[in-house]
Amino acid sequence: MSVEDGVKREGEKNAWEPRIVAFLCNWCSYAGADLAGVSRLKYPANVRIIRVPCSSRVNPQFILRAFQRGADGVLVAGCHPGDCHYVTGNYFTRRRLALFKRLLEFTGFMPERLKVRWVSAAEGSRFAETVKEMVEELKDLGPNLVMREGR
Amino acid sequence: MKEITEFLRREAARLLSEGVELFIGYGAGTRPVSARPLFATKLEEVAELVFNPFCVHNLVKYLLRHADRKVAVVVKGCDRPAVDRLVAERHLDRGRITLVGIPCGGMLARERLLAELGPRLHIEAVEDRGSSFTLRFPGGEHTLEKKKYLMEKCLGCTRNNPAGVDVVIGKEVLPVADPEHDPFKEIREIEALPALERAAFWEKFFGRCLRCYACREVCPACSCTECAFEQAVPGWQQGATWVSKAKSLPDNYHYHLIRAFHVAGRCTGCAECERVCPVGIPLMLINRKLAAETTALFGEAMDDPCGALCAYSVADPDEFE
Repeated sequence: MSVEDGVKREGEKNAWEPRIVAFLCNWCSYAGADLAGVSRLKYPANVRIIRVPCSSRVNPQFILRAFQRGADGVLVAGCHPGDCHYVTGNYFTRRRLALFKRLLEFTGFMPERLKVRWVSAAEGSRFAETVKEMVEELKDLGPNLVMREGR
Repeated sequence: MKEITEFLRREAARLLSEGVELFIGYGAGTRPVSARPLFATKLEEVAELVFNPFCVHNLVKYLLRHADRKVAVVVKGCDRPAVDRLVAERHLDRGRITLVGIPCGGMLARERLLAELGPRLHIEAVEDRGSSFTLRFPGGEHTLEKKKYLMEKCLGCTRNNPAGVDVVIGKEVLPVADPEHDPFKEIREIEALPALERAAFWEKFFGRCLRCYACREVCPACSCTECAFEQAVPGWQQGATWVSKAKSLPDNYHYHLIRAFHVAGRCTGCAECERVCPVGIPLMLINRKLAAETTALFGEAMDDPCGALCAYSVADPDEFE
């Protein structure tokens, strides 16, 4: 299993495109991404979405595994603080990932590689914007090589 | 150090005769300038106990193997918080444990000592003189300035006198901390590097990791019964474990980041992980960095008995939009 499977695009075989793994919470952000689709908003196709029950389900090991298997950026999105379906889940996420992001930076990752965003079910356009923004940032940075397997 | 050792043996004998089943302390090591953990169950074994500036080990983790017995254990100031850690996580029953605290004037860095005095050292006695140690050999004496020969963790140490112990051996000592010592100097240097060089710095160290898991085994905060890195799965499921058994830099990276993250907010700073590492990975740089960030972000790291990451506050800084 690799993020690289099936990313060749027609006509631009050699152009490098960043790959993003997005962990979206079932109750807000996944519905938000769904809304972006239903509303026919355009956002880059570089993102691979994984639905999780809550943003606090995202074990930091998931993030590292994504980087190992070829992700150039990881997006974790959940309900706004205070709006968690499980009441307190995203407060734990907020603490955990604030610290984890600092650990990643200390050990050589660019801060832009991990993004955490609060996206509610009504914020389809915000999800599209987030992905757009992230793809642009990652295009400037180039491929991620830290922790990458078989590089 | 002689008086302390004698005091320690007397107290150990007393505790063993008063119903303590096991006394965990230090004995003379088999190599020069070293000590080893000593497990005394009988009165005659007490005479083997010693205390000197080579007693570097944190003995608290051994309590886990004897959680159902009445045990007394020798703790230095830096080992003491590990007991609170294990009690808070309900691995240990504080009522069964007798803590024998020894005020500590710092531990000597073995490699530096051997480099200076040669490998065939035979030390007869060590005296703590406040800002230096005096070593006595068969042929004379040698004075070692603490500032130059102490272990890294001892230079900035302010917890020389263990607090909250049941028995105190010896007199209180003044902090040996070197006021000029800055434990964050190296961390700041790494932070100042560009990301690629930071990655190269850690790849150099993680690349030589053997994944012997000594850093995990020795750590009082790493006390899960089943470790995330050694799930008991059948061979055909090994591909689903977090790290493979093969040598691989990404897996080493994964292991080290997660090990550090699992003890973040729970690390007691005893620096045993770094000491036991056979390939010299500076693990305390990561641990210290995470501890500092935890305190800066969420206040005192130990406010929750199980560590900062087991709790949350609505008022936490919200840096994610």
